[in-house]
Amino acid sequence: MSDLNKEELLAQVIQWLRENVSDKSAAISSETELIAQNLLDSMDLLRLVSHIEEAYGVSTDPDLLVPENFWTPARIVSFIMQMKASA
Amino acid sequence: MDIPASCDVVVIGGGPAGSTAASFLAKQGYDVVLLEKTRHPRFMVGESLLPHAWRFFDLLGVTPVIERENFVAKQGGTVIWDGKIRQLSFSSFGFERPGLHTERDRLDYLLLEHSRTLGARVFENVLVKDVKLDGAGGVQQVRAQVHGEEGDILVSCRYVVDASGQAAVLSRQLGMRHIDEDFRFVSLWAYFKDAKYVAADGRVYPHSQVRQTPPTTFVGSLGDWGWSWHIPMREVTSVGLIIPLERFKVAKRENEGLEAYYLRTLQEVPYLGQLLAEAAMVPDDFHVIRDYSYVPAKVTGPGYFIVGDAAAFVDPVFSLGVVLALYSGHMAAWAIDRSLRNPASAENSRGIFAHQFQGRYELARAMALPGRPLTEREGQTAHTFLNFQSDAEQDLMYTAAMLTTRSSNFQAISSSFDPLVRLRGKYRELDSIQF
Repeated sequence: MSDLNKEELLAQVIQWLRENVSDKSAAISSETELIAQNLLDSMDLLRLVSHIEEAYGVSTDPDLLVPENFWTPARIVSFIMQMKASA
Repeated sequence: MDIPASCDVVVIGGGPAGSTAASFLAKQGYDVVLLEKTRHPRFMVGESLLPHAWRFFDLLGVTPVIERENFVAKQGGTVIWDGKIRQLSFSSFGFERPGLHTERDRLDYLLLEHSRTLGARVFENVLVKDVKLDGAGGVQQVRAQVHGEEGDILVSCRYVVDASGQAAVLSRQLGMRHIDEDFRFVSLWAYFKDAKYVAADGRVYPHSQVRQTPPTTFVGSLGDWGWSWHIPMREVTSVGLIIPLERFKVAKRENEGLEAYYLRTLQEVPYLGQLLAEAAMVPDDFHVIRDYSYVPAKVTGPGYFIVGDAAAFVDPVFSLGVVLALYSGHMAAWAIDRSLRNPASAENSRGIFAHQFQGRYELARAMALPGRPLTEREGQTAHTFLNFQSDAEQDLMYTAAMLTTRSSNFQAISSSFDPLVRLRGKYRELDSIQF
């Protein structure tokens, strides 16, 4: 897989969220508070984890499944990049 | 009975947790065999559902079926605890759909039938005796007996989902069921015709109004030792007591008889006697069961996942049971699908399942069981899970926790549980219930 830059990754994450969260009308930007606003619940989180692993070839350590890593699309991007770097 | 000798996944038990796991897996195209020891519809207590259940009904595609059934909608809770009367309405927390008061034989039957329509192969009157786990996530072998037939049958599979409820087939077999000393209670309950109920406006209505004016679940404390439930359904109202095992033993020794003890004790709950004044108890429908709070040392290992009541049980005061069943059934299906598609991720999937389940469980425990303080690790797990909830959901949890005096553990883990945050409590306090 070719290396993605941060902007491309962010665009992909936001795209996935727009297509997959229950509330399709929600406006999602890099700083949208996904958990607080109930756009990403426990069930969405599992689907997102599967997606991240399949799309970016990383493996999620259960201990890293903390709200901070999924709080906003920008945080999700940092999380993916961090896991890719340590893979 | 044409039970296949092998399949992808065997689900033990056809309650909400089992049928949820079976439905999601069948939907993904897996060959699922579900073995249920009784024949549905079958009797079950635990009639009150939080509105969170709809999220799972939507994912399962069963929402139209549930809507057609027209169960009684519940608007929230009326809680009389320690003399204070408080009401909580789901609509204050952004829920667009109500909770439900369901006849569980019907609800569980509908969910199980739905798993059949999605392709799960459901066999009833089949008692699972044990599971031979290979310990490495290869082939598991389930041994079962068809009711009324001689000899055992064997079903080989890649994964087993234990949704056997209080029977807890796997955790008993593996000797890892851990009873929480905190909570040894007994439930006594019966069903009443024409019981009045309390609606969200704090007023009392006759049962005949249950469609026009949706009820609340009515919960009342009994001294500092027990509590009662009152759950109006379509035809009857489920009315129960939860009392400590020690008190139950005393009651049992008296000559009064348990049913008389039950009826007398109901009168001690504020307003409950008045709600039941003109009601008639359904004959021969008085029940007593022991409720222990427990959790197994492990909810998953190579080749298996434990879900619903088979995994854990906590004080039913917040009506969490069915939602926890749907939640864990969904999560087990997710983990199994992921493991079967990518066997290298099996251990990781189990880790995520265990971690998330533990968080949900510790949070439920923190809200309902004050006896033993959480350990630091338990508190941390619950805290993480709490912070995964939306603002509205956290408001609901704070509010629910404030309705009883049992949530000292919850207050300890929710760092923001201070006087300021108490403003988040969205309950309404009443001076009295209006008859």
